[in-house]
Amino acid sequence: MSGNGSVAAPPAAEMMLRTHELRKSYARTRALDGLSINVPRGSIYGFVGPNGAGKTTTMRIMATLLLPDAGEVWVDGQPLTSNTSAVRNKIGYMPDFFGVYDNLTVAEYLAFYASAYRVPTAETRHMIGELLELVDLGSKRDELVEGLSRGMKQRLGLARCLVHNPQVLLLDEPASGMDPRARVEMREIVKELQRLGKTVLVSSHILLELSEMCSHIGIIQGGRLIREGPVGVILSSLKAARTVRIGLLGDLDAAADTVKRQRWVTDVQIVDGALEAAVSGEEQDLADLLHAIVEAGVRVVQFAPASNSLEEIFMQLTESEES
Amino acid sequence: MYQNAVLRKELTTRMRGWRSSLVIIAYVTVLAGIVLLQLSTSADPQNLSDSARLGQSLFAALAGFQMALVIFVAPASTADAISGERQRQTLDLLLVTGLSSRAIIFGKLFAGLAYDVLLILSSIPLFSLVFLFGGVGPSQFVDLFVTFLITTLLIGSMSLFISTFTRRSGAAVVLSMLATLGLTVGLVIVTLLLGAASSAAGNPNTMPFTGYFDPLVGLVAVLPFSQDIGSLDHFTAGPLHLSLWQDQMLANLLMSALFIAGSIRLLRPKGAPLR
Repeated sequence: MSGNGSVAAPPAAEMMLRTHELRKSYARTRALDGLSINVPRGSIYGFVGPNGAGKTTTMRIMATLLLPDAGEVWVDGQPLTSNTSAVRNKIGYMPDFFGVYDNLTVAEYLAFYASAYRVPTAETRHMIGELLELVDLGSKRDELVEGLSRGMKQRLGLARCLVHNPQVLLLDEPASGMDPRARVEMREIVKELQRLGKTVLVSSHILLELSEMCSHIGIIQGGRLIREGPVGVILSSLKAARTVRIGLLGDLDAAADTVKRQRWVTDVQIVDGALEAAVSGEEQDLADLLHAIVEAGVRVVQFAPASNSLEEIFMQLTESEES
Repeated sequence: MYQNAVLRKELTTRMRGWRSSLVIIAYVTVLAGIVLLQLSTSADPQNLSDSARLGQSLFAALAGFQMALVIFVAPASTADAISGERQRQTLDLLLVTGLSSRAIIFGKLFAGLAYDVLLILSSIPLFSLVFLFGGVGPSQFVDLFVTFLITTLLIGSMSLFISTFTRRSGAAVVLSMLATLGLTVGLVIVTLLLGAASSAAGNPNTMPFTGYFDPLVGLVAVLPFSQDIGSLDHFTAGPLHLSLWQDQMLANLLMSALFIAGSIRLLRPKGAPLR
């Protein structure tokens, strides 16, 4: 397994998408610095990183729009640089920002891309109907693209990625600029695509969204992989440093002293009328902590993770990398 | 060629609505106006020699107007072909499909020029009126339309080439217009200056090399009264001893091929896999 900080991954044969030691620089800026990621077949892989981490560059290389300075990408076992044409047929790419041809109808728009991917004409009409149903645009089939809302255009863009029935989808910030309802709809569509057997690589800054959707995550910063693996495995591997929010009745300062004395607690702070305790240890230790503070007379009304887990992991990892 | 997805899409959208038909009607109407103006200001067309002269002047007037159309319309037809895709953020989506760079460039070029060619062809009935008056042979008629078509191809391919490295459609159109004016009016001025210098040096019958690249020289060479203004047909060049017009057309075709090849080469972003 290549890449630093990776959790044990399946063998290469089970990977739909792999990169090895990818490097790419723009002038004096190093965008990718030996990035190696492994995207298992059939997974929804969340690609997480701060702005400028190299997510879009990685996706553009995978989409055959850029050549890396060094390193290699394999799609379904085929090297990208030596078999570009075959790889393009396996990939559906949705960039973070993209335009549409406003003067085409929705059906014509998809038919154009189907034709560009050389999908047989006989299959096109039926396929377009299915795709429009999938992205919930069936009623818009004969309307001009210019009349669609932003969310609808994003969904149409997703349908465009699927016209040639690719095995891998590269979705770069697919929900950017969408309202909450549209985000939920997009998330459900991505989950449906996974059920249809697609492998999805999706980047997003909205970590909550990824944690609810992804089976795997890869966290990158400065063009390098920090951590990669199944979401559950990564969450449990980092539980040694989680924060627990404890809501209680009574004197907060006295309760804070009581909590601070417990052996699993490394720090306690009062935040918004409750305690936030930095806790080390496993699930059993959390249960023991709760039992101990209740035994000590603290009247607990809430005991829960203080923040979104993936968000917390991301902050922890990127902060430690920066330091 | 119609299997080309880009060509099919472009033709569908460009010909959609009433605007395209209206432009053709307006253009043919303007040409008809030129014919009427020429006829109303001519000498007695019953006189045989006057009639031939009228046919020639009508032919020249229509040819000049149509060449002006080509010079002003052809750059705009293809200058936004690639820069427009880039500006609209649809170019990447096109480049990741199964379409080769060659298919995209040829699709864009032919779709862009198709409407120009339609305008040119729509003028044939009005041009044919010159046969009523005489003075113009069928071969000159054919040569003139070949000149229009090849000039359209040259200007269109040059503008497409400019389009591949400009980010904004507006900039691409302005650059293409300037390049077209340089290729036509600019080269005429250079050719005249070089010709004058050559005459001063004692070589009055030498055509400066720039003349072989200027579509306006090609136009003058094919007009019936070109013999009256200095016998351009006397100029021959190359091992085949082709006429000035033939050399001109070959040079234009060669330049077009170079611009098309350059466009195919520049289409994909620097550092992208070629195809």
